[in-house]
Amino acid sequence: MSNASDIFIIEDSVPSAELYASYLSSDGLESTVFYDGKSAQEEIESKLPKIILLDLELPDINGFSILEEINNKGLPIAVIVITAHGSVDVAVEAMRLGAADFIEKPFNKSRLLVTLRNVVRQQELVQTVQQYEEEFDRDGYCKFVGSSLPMQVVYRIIDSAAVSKATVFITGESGTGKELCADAIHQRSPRAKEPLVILNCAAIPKELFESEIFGHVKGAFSGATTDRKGAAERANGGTLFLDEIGEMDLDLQSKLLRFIQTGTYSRIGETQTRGSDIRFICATNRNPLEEVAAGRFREDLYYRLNVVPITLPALNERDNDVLQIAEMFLSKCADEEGKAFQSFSPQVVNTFLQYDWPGNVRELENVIRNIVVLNSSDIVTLDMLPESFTRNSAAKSDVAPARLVNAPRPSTSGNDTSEIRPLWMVEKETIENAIGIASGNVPVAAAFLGVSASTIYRKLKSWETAESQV
Amino acid sequence: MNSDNPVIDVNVINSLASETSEEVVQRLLKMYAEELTETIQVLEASYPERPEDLKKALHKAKNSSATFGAAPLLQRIVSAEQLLRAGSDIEPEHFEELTELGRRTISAIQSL
Repeated sequence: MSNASDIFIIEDSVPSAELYASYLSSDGLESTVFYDGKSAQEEIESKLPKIILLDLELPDINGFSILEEINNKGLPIAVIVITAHGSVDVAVEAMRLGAADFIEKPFNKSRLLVTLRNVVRQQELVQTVQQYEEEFDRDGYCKFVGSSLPMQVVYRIIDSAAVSKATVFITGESGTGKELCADAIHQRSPRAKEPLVILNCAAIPKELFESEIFGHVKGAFSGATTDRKGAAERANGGTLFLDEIGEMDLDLQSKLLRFIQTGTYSRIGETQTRGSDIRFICATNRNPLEEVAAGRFREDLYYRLNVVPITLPALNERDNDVLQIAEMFLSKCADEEGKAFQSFSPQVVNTFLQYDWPGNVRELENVIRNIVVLNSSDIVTLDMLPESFTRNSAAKSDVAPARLVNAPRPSTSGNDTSEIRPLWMVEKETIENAIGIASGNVPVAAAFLGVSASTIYRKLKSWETAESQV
Repeated sequence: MNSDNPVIDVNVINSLASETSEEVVQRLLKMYAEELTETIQVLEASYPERPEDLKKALHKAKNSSATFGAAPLLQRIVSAEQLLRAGSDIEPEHFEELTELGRRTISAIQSL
């Protein structure tokens, strides 16, 4: 910052103003001095200084009015208010009106420069956050609803992955939107006009699975009364989404791997080899590496599929997305059921924010639909929440981490379990350690842990509550 | 710098010089002296009928007096300001002492 219009000094005492300007210029910082408020006001909006050093008692106007104007217009200017010695109430009022800092006179050069540097640093941080917000500020993406930071990360990955043919492996708890994710990838890809074929590996009987993927010819097996196209053929040129791929048996996994590697397959009962140009997306709500370790999933298939991994966050990790999604469902269900519901009471909002949502978005949709079908009003109140939801919600708030220590341990058939500690304890230590390393800065610790700051704050609060109940 | 000026704390002046330069401090002290001269004129023209003008002039002199180490004058100005803010008048003898101290401060600055 070395442009004179970057720093304004608004001070009616000429020698004092010149002294402050000298302090700044001795550090290579140029400034423009104004001896009254009105002449400064005329220049503020046109020149948009980065920083204003403002004396509140000016001869023509009250300095607070300049501060208020800057705040009301949302001008990106940091105001450092010069206050008289001992006027704490004035300083507090100035901060309330949006001043970035205050400095008590008389002050020396180093005090001024330290204050200035702190304000500049604060401005840079605000600008960085604003840049990220502008870049990541999407309320939704395709059919996804949600503007939380974890979802912005997902949207960015989909943006990057969609345009290529790379296989995407989606993981996440049940109800987090794996199918929505696959749909979004397909819609954003060059294959959007081609078919998206979805196969739920858990829903198809194992003996019919190979036929579902590769098709069959008439007479290939008992019941094959006609030729049938499989998903591989129907998705040619488009996208094939294999949901719950962890349910696929090992034999079929090897055939799938060959298909992915060669792009060729045969219908059951056919000797002819067919080719298919497919973009693969897979999903599972299990931990794929655990499945590989347990021998239930082929390691070579896993690495072939896991080119672009996307992990969908649980609903309770998505900050306030639960409210956005709940509002969407409320509007949709109310339309469908012809009800007048429009909003949630503050108590319901609070309950939704506190609840863990083990069933994620699917559970939320069920709860909303239950409320809309069984009640009539324009506002959702606590008494309308399903009994099962209320019971689960109360049960979860009653479970304190301290009590889990006393829970009976499962049998481990003689294995050495001395190293195994309750997950909540490991999580707590990890979080506390990260906060310590980040010098107490929770948002910084959260960034390193790869979760949102609100997740950390929620966990800290729940541990405090639990400790107070012990 | 002459250290026998009780109306000006030369340590403050020396500190300012170390943070800027001798030349800058001399220039600023000249400005301060000019400002004080003008302030006294405004005070005398405004006393006692125009308390708002008195307040503005006193405030301006208060800033600079604090900055340039004129502690006795600063104290007088603060007292006078408090009286005016409370809606009271400045007694003529106190006003006289204030302006006289202002002149002494100007002389002290000019002798630095």
